[in-house]
Amino acid sequence: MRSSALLLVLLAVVSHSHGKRPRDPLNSFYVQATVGQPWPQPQAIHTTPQQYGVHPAAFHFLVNQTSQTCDLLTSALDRYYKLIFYPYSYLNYILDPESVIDEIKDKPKKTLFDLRDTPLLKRLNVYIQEPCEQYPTLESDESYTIVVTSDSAVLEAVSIWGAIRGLETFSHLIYPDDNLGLAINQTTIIDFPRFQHRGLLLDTSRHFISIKTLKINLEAMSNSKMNVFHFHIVDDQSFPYESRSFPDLSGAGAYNQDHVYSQEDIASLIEFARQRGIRVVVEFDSPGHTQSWGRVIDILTHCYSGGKPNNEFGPMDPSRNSTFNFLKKMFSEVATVFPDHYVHLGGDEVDFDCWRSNPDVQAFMKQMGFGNDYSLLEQYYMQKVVDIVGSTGKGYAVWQEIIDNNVTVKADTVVEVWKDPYPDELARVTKLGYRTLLSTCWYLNYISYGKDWVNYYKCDPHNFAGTDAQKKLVVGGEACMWGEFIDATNVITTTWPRAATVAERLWSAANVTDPNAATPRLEEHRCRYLRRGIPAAPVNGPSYCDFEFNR
Amino acid sequence: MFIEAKYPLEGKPSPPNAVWPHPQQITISNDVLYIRPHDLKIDSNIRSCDIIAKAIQRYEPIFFPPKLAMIYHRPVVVINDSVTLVDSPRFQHRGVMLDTARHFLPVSIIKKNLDVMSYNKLNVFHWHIVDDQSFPFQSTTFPNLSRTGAFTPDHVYTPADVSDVIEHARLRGIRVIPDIDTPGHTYSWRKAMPELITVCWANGKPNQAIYGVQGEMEMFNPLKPRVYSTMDALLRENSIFSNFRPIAKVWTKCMINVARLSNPAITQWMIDNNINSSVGLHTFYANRILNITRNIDVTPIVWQDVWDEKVELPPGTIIQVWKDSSDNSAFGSWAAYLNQAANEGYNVILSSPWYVNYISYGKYNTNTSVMNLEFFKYYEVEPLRGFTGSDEAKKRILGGEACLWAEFVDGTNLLARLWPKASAVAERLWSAASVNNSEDAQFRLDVHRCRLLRRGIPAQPILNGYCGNYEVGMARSMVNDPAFNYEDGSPTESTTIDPSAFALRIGNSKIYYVLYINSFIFFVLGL
Repeated sequence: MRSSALLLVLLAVVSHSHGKRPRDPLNSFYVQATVGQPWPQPQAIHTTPQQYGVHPAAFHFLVNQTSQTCDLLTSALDRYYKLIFYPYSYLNYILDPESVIDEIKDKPKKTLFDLRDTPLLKRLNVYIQEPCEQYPTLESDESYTIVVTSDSAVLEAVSIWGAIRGLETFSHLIYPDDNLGLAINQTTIIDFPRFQHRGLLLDTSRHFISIKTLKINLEAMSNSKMNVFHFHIVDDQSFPYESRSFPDLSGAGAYNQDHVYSQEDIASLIEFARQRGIRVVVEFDSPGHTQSWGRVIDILTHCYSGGKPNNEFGPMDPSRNSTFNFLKKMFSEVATVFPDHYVHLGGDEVDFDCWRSNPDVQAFMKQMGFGNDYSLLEQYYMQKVVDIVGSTGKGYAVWQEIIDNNVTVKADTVVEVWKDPYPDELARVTKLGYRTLLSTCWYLNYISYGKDWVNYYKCDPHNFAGTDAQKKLVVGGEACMWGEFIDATNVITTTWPRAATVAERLWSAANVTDPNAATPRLEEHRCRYLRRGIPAAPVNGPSYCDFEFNR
Repeated sequence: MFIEAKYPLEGKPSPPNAVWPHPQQITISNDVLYIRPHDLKIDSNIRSCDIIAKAIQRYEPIFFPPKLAMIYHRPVVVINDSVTLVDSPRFQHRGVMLDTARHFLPVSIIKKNLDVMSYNKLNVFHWHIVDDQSFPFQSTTFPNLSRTGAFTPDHVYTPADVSDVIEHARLRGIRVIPDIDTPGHTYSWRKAMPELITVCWANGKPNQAIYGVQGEMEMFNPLKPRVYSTMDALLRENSIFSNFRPIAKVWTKCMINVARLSNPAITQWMIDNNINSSVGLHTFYANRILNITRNIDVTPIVWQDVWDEKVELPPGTIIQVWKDSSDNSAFGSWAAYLNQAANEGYNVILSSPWYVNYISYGKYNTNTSVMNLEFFKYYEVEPLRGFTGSDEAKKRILGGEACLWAEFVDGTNLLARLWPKASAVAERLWSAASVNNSEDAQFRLDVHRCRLLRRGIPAQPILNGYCGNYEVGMARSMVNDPAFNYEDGSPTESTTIDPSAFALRIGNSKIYYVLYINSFIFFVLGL
């Protein structure tokens, strides 16, 4: 009769639970969640039915005496303690550390007296081998091991980043239990990511997204072990980045002066990300997608019709030196504001019509001997831009057009493939020897009805014909949430948990590919998001969570 | 405010106070008045109507939002100096259907959704309250149904919750119609009343689920007298709602697939009674249920399947047309359906083209801009397209409903997913048929969407751009403001205030013929 026709016959998914939550095995009309299973799936995990109770008054984190430590670890331990024991208050706490714990809603379900005959997990010993890095990088080590036996557990990692990933997994292993309040099973995990770059793009130009919402999104990313926030900060529609050198850019280019990111905002966002081992890779897309830049500063090409300027503007004007002088100042500022080694330079979708119409550009084309080939002009522009950015000491990421257009780029450049057919594109770019990212199959903004995450889950960045060396050049991928129909009203519910399925593809082993096996774990992961205050939407058909979202 | 530098849209930009849905007649002068909160008095000359009294209270934070001074940088709102408005709806039945069985919707969200419905002059909340997946409705007669059929004891609507929702709706001029779907969609009844549900057989054995074909048990068994006594009692209990709606469904293979030897008792009964098709069985059931309604003071609404199968319907029965809701734009056959049913003397409501749970992406068209296809698709429906009957028959086309089935919807995303899409349906059902230029309407809807944000509703964007300083997550956002939110489990208090007749005068503005309390909503202007 209606949309449910297919769902009435949903698989009777057998719960992989190792906890003791009673479920009705006959009811096949809705998806049943696993209990205490991590997302993304670790490389190796072994659990037994042996349960331990976990209670806030009887548990603490312990940093091993021989371990490295730093502020990142201290704050992570504080955060995860609250996440595990005060989930109701957690989100408010991380957004506003002054906020108070809701002692009533976060009251433990069991007292220590209730648990007097239960084996309890009393501590997690954390051991980090190497001194903390200040910021995560593309090369950072994120591996870790967790062993939960007897009354103590051990988390070991090479780096602080691995310890943070391990703490996240540890928080997934602990689950609400009717008898124990909170419980964890005897578990051994050896884990590391399959790909180094596990990113998510948000677009804050088509619609503005407040810093608060961006932070909630970073928290959601770290809950799924994603480690790169690709910040598509400006575009044609608006310029919310408040520049130190050119305050007029946002002064005229932002929607209004409340729809801007101040330097302070950016710094707090980067710090929030750093604490979660997330890199912030900012994108200043040019020469196209720059209408909002040119409202005050004269850097765009003046378009002509009938031999006269028509008051319309095209891409950046490469025929004028002033354009590049501006970009030098702009990118040297960007290089100091954003600590990551990489800046994304965009370079996609350049429209040649306006360049063609402008007599100065035509003259420049002649002077340079480009004839009528405007892709040579685009190549010229991008070459200048990559050289400018290169001279600041930064590396850069670019959309694939730059390479399609034969620009010479530095050896450490990361090329992002977004066109179809992606296997051919990946083969071509890796053959040229560049590090490569895949995003073609992960445009989450293209919504459709039903369980669409299965398509994201099935897309594999190694699915192309190439040598082992080529495969190694694929450093990961990015889920993209472009902002034409997305703003803070729906960005979290539309992105999560769909992006988490991309996160699992990029983290877990290549053979973790069965969507039916993933479904009950994904269901648990969504409910986990809800418990932590993040409104992840239902994606598996009919279901429920113990904590429903009612705000 | 729509912003698109590169690919401007067709259509006429909207003033910031455009009314949605568009009124039948409106004249507005160009001069404006600035109003401070204490300059405005809203009064009514009807002393005995709590609906008006509560509405006046309710619209105060809407006229003068709690963070007004911060929003407008000065503590005033603006209205055109002279506004004359004559308005009435084109269709009587303007509904939204929500499904609380596939996912549970907290009462706080349902109430907030009723608020948005009233901001769009929608007047029917069709509450698909139970289904296969869960039975959250706590019946006073049969409490075991929700005790065993709800997802958990927390996932229920108590009698207090239900009255709370009904009262909240009543104060907004919204009818609540419960939808107890039978004979299919009843798996969640099985634990409380296993004898009502048909056991499915295969290979000579009972309780056999076959993936994609049948469950181990499903659908009411029409041979069991207790089916009818239960429905009788439940429907009497439900007559607290405005209407009811038994929903008929064709029997599945579980019951009549002779080749698979599914339920032998039913197969044998059909042979004995000379019933040789599923249609016959269905007719048998539907007749008996409709007979029950004849004895209770309710009007049955049925999904069109019942009519398809030529069941004789009691006079006044309303047929809801839902078929042909394919996602392409070929909505040919529902029009023919409306035409035929209305001409045969039945009342009809339309929902085929308005299954708003089927989401799709706006197509990127580089020649114009990013078009919001979903809006265009829902807006460009004309219910009377191709209608050829008499005027009297035309009146039997009562209106329509936007349906949001909940396989992929719960409290996290309901409001953003439904709004402002359902506003497109609201304008189609309220405004004159001639108000149909979607290029213009998208600008007005964009303005309306910002209005919804100001009232704390996280309606999603339809065009690029922004909405002032009260967007979600910004310091001045109303989305979590107590003035526009409800706590679960704290009912709307009823009132005894009774101011009487009602007049709204602002400066020189005269508002005539206020047919509907929601007509208030127009006068907060965004600057």
